Amino acid sequence: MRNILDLLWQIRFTLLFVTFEAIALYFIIRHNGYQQSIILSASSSFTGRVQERYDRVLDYFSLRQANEALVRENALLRASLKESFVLSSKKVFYREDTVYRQRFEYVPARVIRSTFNRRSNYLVIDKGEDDGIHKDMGVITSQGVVGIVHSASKHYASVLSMLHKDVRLSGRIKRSGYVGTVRWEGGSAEEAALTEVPGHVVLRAGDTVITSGYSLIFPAGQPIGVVKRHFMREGDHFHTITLELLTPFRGVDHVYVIRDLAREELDQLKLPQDE
Amino acid sequence: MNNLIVRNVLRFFVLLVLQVFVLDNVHLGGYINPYLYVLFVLLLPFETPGWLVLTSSFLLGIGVDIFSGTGGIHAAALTLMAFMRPLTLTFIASRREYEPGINPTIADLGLQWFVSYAGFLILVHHLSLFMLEMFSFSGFFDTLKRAFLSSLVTFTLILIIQYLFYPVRSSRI
Repeated sequence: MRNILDLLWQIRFTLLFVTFEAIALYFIIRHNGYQQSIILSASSSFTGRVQERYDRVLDYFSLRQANEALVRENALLRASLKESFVLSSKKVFYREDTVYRQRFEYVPARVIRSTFNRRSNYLVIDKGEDDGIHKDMGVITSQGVVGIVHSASKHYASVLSMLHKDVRLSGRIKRSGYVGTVRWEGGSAEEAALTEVPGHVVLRAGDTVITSGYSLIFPAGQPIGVVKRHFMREGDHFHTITLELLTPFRGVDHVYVIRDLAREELDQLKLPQDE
Repeated sequence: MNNLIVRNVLRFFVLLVLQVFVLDNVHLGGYINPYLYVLFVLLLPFETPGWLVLTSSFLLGIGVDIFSGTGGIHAAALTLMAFMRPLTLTFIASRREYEPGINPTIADLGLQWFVSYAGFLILVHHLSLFMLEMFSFSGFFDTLKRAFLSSLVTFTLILIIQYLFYPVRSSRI
């Protein structure tokens, strides 16, 4: 007995090290395990409040860009006012949203924390369950797609950025209508890959890629990126396409969370296999 | 002695705040990040008891993790680095004894000693950090590249700080 205690005392430094590593590993696994509280800390009220205050200071530095983005968006909205349109009988058939029930609602939110330098990136926004934010809702800016809500606490929500190794989006090439899968392959925060586009599709640099509307997360037609480079490997039947992302992930601030009013109904349909 | 404790406690918090609020927002060339907070472990006095080195490193790591929402990767990496510190010290040749009053700085032990001491420990930390972040061996060489480049940036920053705060000629403390 005495010897065992002596031995334990002798290796106490190693024992303490192993204990700490075990605790850290437990945190990592719980974190990676995609339990509810992935950014537990950021969503919990203390650090959330600190982040928010810090962010409020940083806001002053980006006022100019924020204003510019808002002005641009105002112009766009103004352009889509009724007054800006000439009544044309042809147009009406395409304006489905005014003819049919409203399906999507947009909840504005601010980003209080974001990363884009890791392989798995997250954002934290200042709206949560109290504002009707739930898991698996899409998040966009006026420029393009941002990500998917991962978990929500009362007042905050964490968002899986498009710059996350596990995020896949269904993207449609606007000009030809073909659908592929968009995913981020690491590296630059400005580029992503579009895969599974068959080789016979004619591509041009500058083609816009939008959401397909096949998933229940994003409505169809949200911009994702534009084709930057494309080529075909010898013997391959699919294009290798690099997209330039339209969302400026380095400076995302104002975002919209998309609430799908038909969600419950569609979920009840029990689709055989959905993403 | 008291002065020494206050200095190290202060350094703990200053480095934590600096890391979380300033350096986490620095991205060189897209995704190279300096992790300056490792300086805390590097500069702990030689006479610090082993358990205190481990505990304070673990706490600093957890602090960085909490604020950057990264689970426990910083805690794991920094604790590993703290564990390696005594081993590293025995393997590096020094022209002076590691006795109380002597600090692990360029000013006290010379550039050559510091480069091997800090360089090795920073590599240990960054490599384990980036691997834990990926949590898989896919893209292994890309991870390796990121770890080496970030280590280089961190190391350069630490060298600059050493020359700013611990001038070689006048010996402080």
